[in-house]
Amino acid sequence: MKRRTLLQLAAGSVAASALPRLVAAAPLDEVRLDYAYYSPTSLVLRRFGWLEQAFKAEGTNVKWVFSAGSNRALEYLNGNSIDIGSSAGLAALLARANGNPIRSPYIFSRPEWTALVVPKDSPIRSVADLKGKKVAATKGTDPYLFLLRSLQVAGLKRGDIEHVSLQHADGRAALEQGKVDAWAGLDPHMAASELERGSRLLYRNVAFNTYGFLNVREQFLAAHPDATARVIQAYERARAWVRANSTEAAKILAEEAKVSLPVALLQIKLRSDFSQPLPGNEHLAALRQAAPILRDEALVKPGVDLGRAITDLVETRFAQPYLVKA
Amino acid sequence: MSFLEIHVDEKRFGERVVLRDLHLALERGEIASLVGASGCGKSTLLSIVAGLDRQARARVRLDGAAADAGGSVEGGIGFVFQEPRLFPWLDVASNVAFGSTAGAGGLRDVDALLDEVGLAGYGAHLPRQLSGGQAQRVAIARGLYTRPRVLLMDEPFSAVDAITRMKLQDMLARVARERGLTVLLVTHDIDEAVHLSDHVILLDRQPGPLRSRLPVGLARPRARGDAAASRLKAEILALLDLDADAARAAAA
Amino acid sequence: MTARALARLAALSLPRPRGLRRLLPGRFPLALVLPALLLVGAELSVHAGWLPANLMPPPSEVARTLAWLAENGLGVHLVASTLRVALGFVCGAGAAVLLGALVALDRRVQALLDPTLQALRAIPSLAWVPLLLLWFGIDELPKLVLIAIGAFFPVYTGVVSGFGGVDRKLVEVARLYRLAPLALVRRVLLPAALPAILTGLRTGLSLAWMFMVAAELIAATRGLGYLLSDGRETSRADIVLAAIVLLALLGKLSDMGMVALERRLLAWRDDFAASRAGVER
Repeated sequence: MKRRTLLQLAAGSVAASALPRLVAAAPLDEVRLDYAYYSPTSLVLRRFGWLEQAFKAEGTNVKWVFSAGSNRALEYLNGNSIDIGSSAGLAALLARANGNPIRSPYIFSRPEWTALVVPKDSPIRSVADLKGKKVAATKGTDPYLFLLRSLQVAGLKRGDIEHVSLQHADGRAALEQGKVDAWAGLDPHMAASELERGSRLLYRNVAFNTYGFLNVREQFLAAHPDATARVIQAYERARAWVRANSTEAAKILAEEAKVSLPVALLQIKLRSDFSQPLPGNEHLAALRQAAPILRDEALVKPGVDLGRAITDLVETRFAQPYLVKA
Repeated sequence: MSFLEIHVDEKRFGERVVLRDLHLALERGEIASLVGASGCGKSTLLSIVAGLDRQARARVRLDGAAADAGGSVEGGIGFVFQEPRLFPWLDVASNVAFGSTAGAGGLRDVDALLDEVGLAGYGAHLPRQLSGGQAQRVAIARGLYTRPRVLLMDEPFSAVDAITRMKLQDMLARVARERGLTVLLVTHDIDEAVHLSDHVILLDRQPGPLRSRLPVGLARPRARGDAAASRLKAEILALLDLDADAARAAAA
Repeated sequence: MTARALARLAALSLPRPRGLRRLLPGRFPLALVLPALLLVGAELSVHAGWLPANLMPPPSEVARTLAWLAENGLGVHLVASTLRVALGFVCGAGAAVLLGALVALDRRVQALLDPTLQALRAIPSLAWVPLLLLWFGIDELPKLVLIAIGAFFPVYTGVVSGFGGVDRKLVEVARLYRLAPLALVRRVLLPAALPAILTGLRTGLSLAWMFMVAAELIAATRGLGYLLSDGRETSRADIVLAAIVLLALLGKLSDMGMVALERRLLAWRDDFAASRAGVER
């Protein structure tokens, strides 16, 4: 009796392992992902409900969580509050290097979304002038890392300025109220500040913007690759739509982020590039270029292997089959 | 004119009249006990004399002058409560000298006073280190600190055990004699009243003048429980019982 | 090592009970048993893989981070936070003692102020933050005001209930001596109310630490709360824990100071706590 059961079990397990991995390991009750004003594609996706449609057949619920910045999205991922979150590339690398178990299989945009901003009548003319001044920036996000890299270019360190930690929207308010001298801005808030209050971009550097990474919890990716694939497919659908209907997309952004249409248009048309969704050498190179700042400013634990963290983070092949050729 | 003259026109608690048309006089150096049924106003009367009661219509005259100054003036009226009521954060010496605005200024005075009440050397103790009887001695010392001419005592020995009570009574009698104090003592203990007093004053249950003022003619020093004392005690009890009967009859 | 030393420091203020101590090896104080167990348990759990390291850094790592911080500007953060607490507490507690005394001693003042103060007391700390930010900006002032608010209410309550709870019998003694109102407060009411006032101060101090963290989470450039949010934003749970350990330590130290002050000022007390400490009769 016992031996027969054992044999059956053995036969069954061999058969099971031979099956191609077409079906998910376990049924998924809910997929949780974020939406953010710095990821217009996510807003479009959420607006049209394409993800809900895609998951209706399995009865999987879709939960949308608002992310106020890369820092928040990464925090939620770390704490298993969301499965998929949007952040800047360098911020994701920082998180990964510090132990956040995420992988990034998809690029949702290539934005020039951050710059150093000063008020309209500011006497500050160059980055070097920031020495000893108050600069607002959201820690753990691309603007913050942009700030550090810009300071480095001007020969300054984090300790040379007085960093005030405020979330993006509060940072803008602080700049416009004169409570800080400069702000590491983020679109759409930055665009709004420029157009509505005449704030000036003190320093721009496209190369210092590290792309919009769509991060997935490692555990989730391993347990539900099909669900992840479906999300990427939905994102692709939204990406194609945004490229074809940029003005409409700007309208949606304006409504969601409560900014004016010109601001939204500035962000989407002039400062976002939706053409390269698959993580590749371009992105790896950008991260490798940016990584030293994490060590220089002691944002990562001493002795961390950043190169290894980069390869652990960036997943260059997963999304390939699901991309829309455009 | 007596040494201490007390006139209460009226004292009421809300609607209830407690004292009315009461006149009481003590001679200098006299020890008088005030006895009466519970609720007849003995403690109230004492409060009035001490100046603690501002609402009563009353006049108190000490040695011909209005006695209004209060317990911190030398040669005035001292008071001892039923409980010691010592300030727990002050040591014994500071408690005794509380009446002096300069604090425990005359420390020698305090030491001598403590000696007098039988607590020599206890100046640095804290109240929580004292027994009930010891604490009450400190309270008496405090009452005597401002060298009052009159000492008012509201059931001062009722909270201690029998043996301590007797010792404290003897101490009081001695101190009063030595200082020529005039003492008005409220008590429920008839034995105590008879043992200590020159006069035992009975207060009526109904508001009004004094019920009686009985002289205690016994020679000092007095022994406890002798025949004359017992007779007097019986007489007082009888008067109090009559009082109780009258009250019951009135209520019926 | 560091963590253990910290735990040992934390246990210093507690009296050493006998009895159960005999069961433990050597002179191991009872107060350290629980922290030691927790630390060892956490360390083992992470190394064995039961707890994920990104959520719960092992104590050894936190200790290393503390050591690193100590060499990299920790002093600045400690001083900033401590100064904020000190200043905010002094202002808040001072105002509370003043107002509390006035409310306790004068019925009209009580009718005027107390209802409003009780209503304000119900407002939770974080609800003040947006308002203070709006009115006072993001510099030191809103932080100090928030801390002062936090310290105010326990002290105020302690003062009011302390004065209110003074034994009427003692006040009567003071009336015997015809004490002037100010002398009455100084010589009788204040000493009698001191136990309740000190309890209020002690609570107020620990709340001041709490409100300080809330204040620094808003918008700070220095301090333990800043460190805390720094760790949060960069996925450094070890920094978060290090900041928490330091906050606990500083809070405990200041509390120990209050307890010592209490013991000094209230040595005359005759109550349950005194009897347990074996005070002589």
